[in-house]
Amino acid sequence: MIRATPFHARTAEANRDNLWTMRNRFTLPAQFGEPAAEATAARFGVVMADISWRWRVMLEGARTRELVQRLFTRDAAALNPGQALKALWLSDGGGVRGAGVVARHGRQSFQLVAAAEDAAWISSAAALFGVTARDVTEEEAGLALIGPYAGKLVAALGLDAALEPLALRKFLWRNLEVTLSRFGEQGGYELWCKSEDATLLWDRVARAGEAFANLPAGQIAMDTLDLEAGVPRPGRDYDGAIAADVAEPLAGELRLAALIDAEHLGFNGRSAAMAARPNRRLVGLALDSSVPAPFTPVLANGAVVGRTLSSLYSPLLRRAIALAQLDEAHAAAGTRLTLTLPAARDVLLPTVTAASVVDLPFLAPPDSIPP
Amino acid sequence: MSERYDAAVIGGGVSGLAAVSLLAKAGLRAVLLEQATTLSGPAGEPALRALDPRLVKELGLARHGLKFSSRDLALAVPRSGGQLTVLSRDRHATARSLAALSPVDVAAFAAFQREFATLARALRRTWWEGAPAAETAARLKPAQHDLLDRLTVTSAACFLAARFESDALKAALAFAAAACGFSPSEPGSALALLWSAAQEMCGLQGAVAVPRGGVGGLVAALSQAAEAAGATLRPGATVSRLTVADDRLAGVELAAGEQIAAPLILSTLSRRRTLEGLAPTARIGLGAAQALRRPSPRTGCATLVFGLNRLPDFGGGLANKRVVIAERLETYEIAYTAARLGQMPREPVLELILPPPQAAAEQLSSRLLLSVSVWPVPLGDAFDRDALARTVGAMIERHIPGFAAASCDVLPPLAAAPSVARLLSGAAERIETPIPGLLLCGDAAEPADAISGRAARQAARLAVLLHRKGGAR
Repeated sequence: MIRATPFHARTAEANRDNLWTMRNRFTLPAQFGEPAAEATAARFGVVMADISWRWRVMLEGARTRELVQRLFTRDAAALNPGQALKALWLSDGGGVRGAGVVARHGRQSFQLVAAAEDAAWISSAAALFGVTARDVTEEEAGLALIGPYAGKLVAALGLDAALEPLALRKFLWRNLEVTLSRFGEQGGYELWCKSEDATLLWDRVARAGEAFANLPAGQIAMDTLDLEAGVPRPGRDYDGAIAADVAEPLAGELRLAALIDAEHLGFNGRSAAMAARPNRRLVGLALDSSVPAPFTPVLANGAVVGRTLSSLYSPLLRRAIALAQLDEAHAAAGTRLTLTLPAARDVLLPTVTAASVVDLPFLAPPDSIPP
Repeated sequence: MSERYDAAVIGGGVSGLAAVSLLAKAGLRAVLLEQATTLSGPAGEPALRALDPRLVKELGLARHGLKFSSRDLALAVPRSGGQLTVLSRDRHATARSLAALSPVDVAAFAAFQREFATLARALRRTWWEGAPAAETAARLKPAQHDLLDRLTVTSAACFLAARFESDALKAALAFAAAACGFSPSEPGSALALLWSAAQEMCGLQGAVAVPRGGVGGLVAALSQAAEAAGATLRPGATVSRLTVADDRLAGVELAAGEQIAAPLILSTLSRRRTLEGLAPTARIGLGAAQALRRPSPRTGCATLVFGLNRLPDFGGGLANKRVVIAERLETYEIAYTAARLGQMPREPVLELILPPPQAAAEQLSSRLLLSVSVWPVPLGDAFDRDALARTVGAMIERHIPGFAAASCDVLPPLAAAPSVARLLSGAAERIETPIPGLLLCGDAAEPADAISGRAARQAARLAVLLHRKGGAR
């Protein structure tokens, strides 16, 4: 079943080319105007993007602290209310099932925000601890403000923008209950409100944003930002470990090892994850040609040493870039590698092209201009 | 001050008693902890289909008083007009009896029995010795391998429908699948037919036997064997949780607070009840815990025990038989559909165990008990005792004229959760748990639902090995 986000009335109106894409069973504009212009605006100005598609689940109950300690690879139980952290959850065999932000809302209430749904896993784990796992994805709308002027826009809206990264605060803002958070990989802010207030929030932000040349950004622009930041996405760059005892993918092979806290004891899959020795690494590829298909083999001296994942044209770097998983031996920055692009509509024969390895991220998230 | 043992068995019944006796016999200090104040088997179940012959031999159960009032009940199928078709071990009598039903089926039945008996014996490597089915299958002849492959995906109903002509014969043979908990129209239920053909009672393949005193008689013999072997039996001891010390299984804690130290623990409870109910949460992976949470079964089997004041007229031929009342294969389907929807089936499938006349006469001195298994019934709130007693009473009266029960006791229904995967799994998969030293030995660790004691024997064997390894260290 296709779902529409609470902003659908507004995004449909602004989606001039009527191009749509799917995220987590929600339909979302692929682009509003020119994707390159939207991605560039996020670097130099400010954009707003619908993030209501992100899967959100509230964990509530007397034993929630025990649950989050067991479930996530970092100790979320040590957070104060209003704080958040990024963490993974692993299968019994130590494979990455998902990645997300765990935010503490209250003494016994935590929220998980993730790019891909894993309801069966989280709710069955919650049931073990007698904790309720309530899917609030469709109850709340989320709007991300990204770009150096995001802070100024938040201030212009009349909200207190002085918020640390990975924190959240609730406001009653001109009769609207909103939550302001800073969870995103691209810096910036997120505004969350009840679904029925979504169009009101959109209109207020759009009006206040006029002064900052605020643009709505579609999913292509958001993917560009993700890719430039070197963030692997579940479902696109890797498949979460679906079966319980699966040991793949390893956090170390997805550049997510920092999200596993070795000091944190007792999380699921810990012993297996600690014992695992990854021999591939997630790197960036700067390509000399156009965008390769996902999973194009990458060669060094004629031997396959890895594969590409998602790739896009970066308007800021003015070249095609890709995420790739390469053998450790060939993953050093500056290594020159070759790819064979298949024959396409306007190309008769497969083309051999070169690429060089780049350390991630390609581009650091834009610095916020203090409000 | 806590008591120390080498091994503790949680739960009495046939499996628990078998396990504790074997452990004690192997020289381990073993204790049995049973919640109830008496050690008894499942009430009402009078017949045994799958008791492990090796268990009987190893424990010398015959010496400890296990006697059978009937070693081989013939399968009787009532026909319209009050006649009976009897499938017994006597091939010629069976052929004569079947000929009246369908001449074509005489040869088909003989061929079916031959083919099944051979393949079933080959599969004992898996079902008796615990080897994974893939390993056993690799040793089969190509034709047998094909048949086994076919059985694992075919429903008993389809399989029988393709082989036989007579509706009554198909329905009667399909009962073997129902007795293992399968609906005969379920894919893979044909494998349950093979499983029951692989069983042996009193040295006879595929026999159904009645121990003297029912399962209670077997339990009494097992208790005697356990005591003779030097096991400690503790009825009235409720285990509240397993204890862990230094990352190892340390023992159990009783509801009364008492600690019992035992590095090996055998549980007759189901995997879910053992791991979720007793083991510490942190010892099991979240994925493993999730796998335990399968939807609970919605259908099961009920047992009715009718108390009779006088011996009914068993039509001369009904004594020493088990009578399956199922008209056609569709009878199962209609009944299972109703039960899955949470309704009491209007015409369930019945199996009546009718003992030989002398056993009946012995019993009559107190009161004759006739036990009837009813398949299928819905579980939970939809289960209606009174309606079931009425339906079953009326159905029996139709087939046994003059049947009049003085009392009817409806026992709580037992859930059935069979699966083809379980039938094909090796013993290690069913017995071992993620916690070292914790083994399962109950009915849930058997390949199919039946009183068998085989999982108990296999678990005890493994426990003894673990104990010896631990002792050497």
